[in-house]
Amino acid sequence: MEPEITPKSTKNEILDAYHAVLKKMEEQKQASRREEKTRVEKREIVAEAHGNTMEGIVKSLAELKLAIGKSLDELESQLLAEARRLGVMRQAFEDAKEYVATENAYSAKVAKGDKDAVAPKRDLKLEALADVLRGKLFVQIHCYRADEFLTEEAIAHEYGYKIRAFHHALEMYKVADKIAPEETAIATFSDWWGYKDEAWDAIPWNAVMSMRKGVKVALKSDSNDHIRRLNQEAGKMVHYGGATEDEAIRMVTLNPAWIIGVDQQTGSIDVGKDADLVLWNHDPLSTYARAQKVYIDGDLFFDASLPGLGTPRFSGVMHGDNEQGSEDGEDGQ
Amino acid sequence: MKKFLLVALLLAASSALHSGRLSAQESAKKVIVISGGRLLTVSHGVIDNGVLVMADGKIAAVGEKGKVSVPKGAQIIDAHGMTVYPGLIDPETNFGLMEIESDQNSRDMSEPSDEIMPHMHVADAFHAETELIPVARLNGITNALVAPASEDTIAGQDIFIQLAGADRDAMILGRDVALAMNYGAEQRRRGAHAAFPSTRMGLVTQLRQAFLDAQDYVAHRDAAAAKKDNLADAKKDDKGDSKKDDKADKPFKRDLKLEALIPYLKGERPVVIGVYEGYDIETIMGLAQEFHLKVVLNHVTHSQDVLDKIAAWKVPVIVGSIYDFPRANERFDAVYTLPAELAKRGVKIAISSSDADGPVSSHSSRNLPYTAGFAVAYGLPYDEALKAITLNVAEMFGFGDSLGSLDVGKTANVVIANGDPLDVRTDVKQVYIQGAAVPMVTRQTKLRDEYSK
Repeated sequence: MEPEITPKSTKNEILDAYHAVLKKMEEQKQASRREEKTRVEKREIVAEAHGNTMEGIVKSLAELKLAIGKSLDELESQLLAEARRLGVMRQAFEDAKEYVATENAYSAKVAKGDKDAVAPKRDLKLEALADVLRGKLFVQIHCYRADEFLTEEAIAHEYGYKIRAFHHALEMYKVADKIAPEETAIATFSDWWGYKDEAWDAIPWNAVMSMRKGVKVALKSDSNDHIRRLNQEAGKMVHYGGATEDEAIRMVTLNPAWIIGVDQQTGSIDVGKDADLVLWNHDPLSTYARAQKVYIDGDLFFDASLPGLGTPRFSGVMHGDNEQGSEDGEDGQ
Repeated sequence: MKKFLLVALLLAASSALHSGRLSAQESAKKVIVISGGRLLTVSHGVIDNGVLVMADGKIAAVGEKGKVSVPKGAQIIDAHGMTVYPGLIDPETNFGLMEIESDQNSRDMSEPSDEIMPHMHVADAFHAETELIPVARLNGITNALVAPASEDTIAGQDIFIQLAGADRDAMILGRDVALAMNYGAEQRRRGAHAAFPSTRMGLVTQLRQAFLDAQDYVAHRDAAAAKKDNLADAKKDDKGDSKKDDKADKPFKRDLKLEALIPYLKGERPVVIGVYEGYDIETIMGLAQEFHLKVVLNHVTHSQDVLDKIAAWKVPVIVGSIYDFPRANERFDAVYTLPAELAKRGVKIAISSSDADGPVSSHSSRNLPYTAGFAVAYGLPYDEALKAITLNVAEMFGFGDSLGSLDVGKTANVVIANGDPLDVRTDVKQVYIQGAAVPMVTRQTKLRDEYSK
């Protein structure tokens, strides 16, 4: 049944063979699903999926063809490995779907008053994935490049979940019009760039350009340094792209709150929201702004007028020494 | 023929546009007048509604509108509502020594084969076509010091550059302008290289030996030169007498390492010493005084307990990164306030652009003005902050007569922005280097424009 593969096979023939193997693999998996221990952690799946676009598969198969001469056994094992990788990802979501279905069936029985209903065995890994499918667990994906956003959205469509935000997202300005309808937000840097290849196309206009095309934008620090002056990072958006002051301040308040899913509680000054407030001595988007008082849940946590650490809440050490405060490397002094 | 010429001109224009290259002729040709702006002269206060004339690459006139004669045929730039100030000078960068941090191939930051390398020249590695330079220039940085990484006690000799020019040589305004030194915990090579010191006492001993050797070298060299002169004289007098000892004829062998230290022993050029802790500053200043070195201190991040001493030594200081983290026993703003505390004591300061925690990254050189602005937020007078990224830096490295302020006769490195240069919201509209408008184009603006269509 399976087409024969030789060193002279065309790319399409190899691809057909691959699909045949894949099908076989999936059938085997259907049969032995119970026994199969599947790694379903979201990050891994995303990582796996990332490497398994159709183009990627075709490309790796083409490369495979060049190395085919030695033995067909080798080809078979490589094809199986490819299939296994794709299978793991698909299987995880298939399992999660089934998990949701079983849970729903049980809940329905209980609701009807069926006292004989047996609670399905809980599986914490699948439960997390099931929450992704139910839309209860926000998917936050760390990635940089334009093609990565498109790949991730395609996978999300295939399995019916939503991506809450891309983190870093340095090339969103290239495809923002395609991502905006997905309602996926980004958490990006103001102007960090060039530290690695994926950050080579990072431009400081990314945030505002993406915002203008309808993507919700938050600015992130990803740094113990920049977090201490995140207000200035927002201020830069007035410079890079001409954000209004309101748009800029949202990037470090309400928009990140939405990404985390706490925008009903915090991120704006509204009646009923948590009293998380800062008193500034200056327009917070200015270089000259200093936080004077910081309230969290209405409690004063920082007061610049106090001596020492500026906090009425703690008398001990508030920041690590060796990790961030020392130039001395691994051994302190 | 005409057509060919046109094509050639277009090609030349587009090439200049993309790289920001300037030829001497280009800058010399035009007379440009910036009129109506608020001039921050740095050296003699603020002139509202001012006029600045640039000709032959230099500032030809500067003053209040109406009091400065505008040459006929000059190009007039209307700068009403704009702020005009001298090009900013970044006192510590690694421009042209690293393109992408994670890419080892693009890194020429430090030389691990030896610890004492005064004879190593940044000029030899400087990659003038780096994409980082136009990016910084777009925010008004026109000049910079380029230094190697800080892993060695004597890491090499720095260059002073202009952020535009026809080629590498045109961009390097000063070769070997300063000796890059470092002292503290970071330079100890624990374990990895047994041949190098792994303690502070080892580092200091090695440094002292290097400077002693250089002194000794000078003495020997001078003695050999004197002997050679005597010998030549003697030969003139005693023709045919061949009984002189052979050794005297042996040429004096040059030692590049020791030779490189001589200008610094003579105090002709500054040594820039990167040092963080108060107690390390005291140790290294002791050594510097022993050899009468002309010192510029760099970083001084945790030096709150020796600020008065630094003032008494009368050494200039490059402060930064001011974003570095305070120690557990320091106040939250202990490092932010350093520029203010030093300036208050009369210390001449420069402020560096680097972020906290880690090596200097010239990718963030464009944030230099904001760093100075943050120092203002923490108590540094505004005028001092502006000086700390212009005139003071120029003076530290021997360019005080040609750069750093809007004064007649200085190089016309001038920036026009739509507001306060130290504020993050301000947009730089045009940069002039040597009196010529630099194309406001970078790899990043090209990407922006391409995806804005």
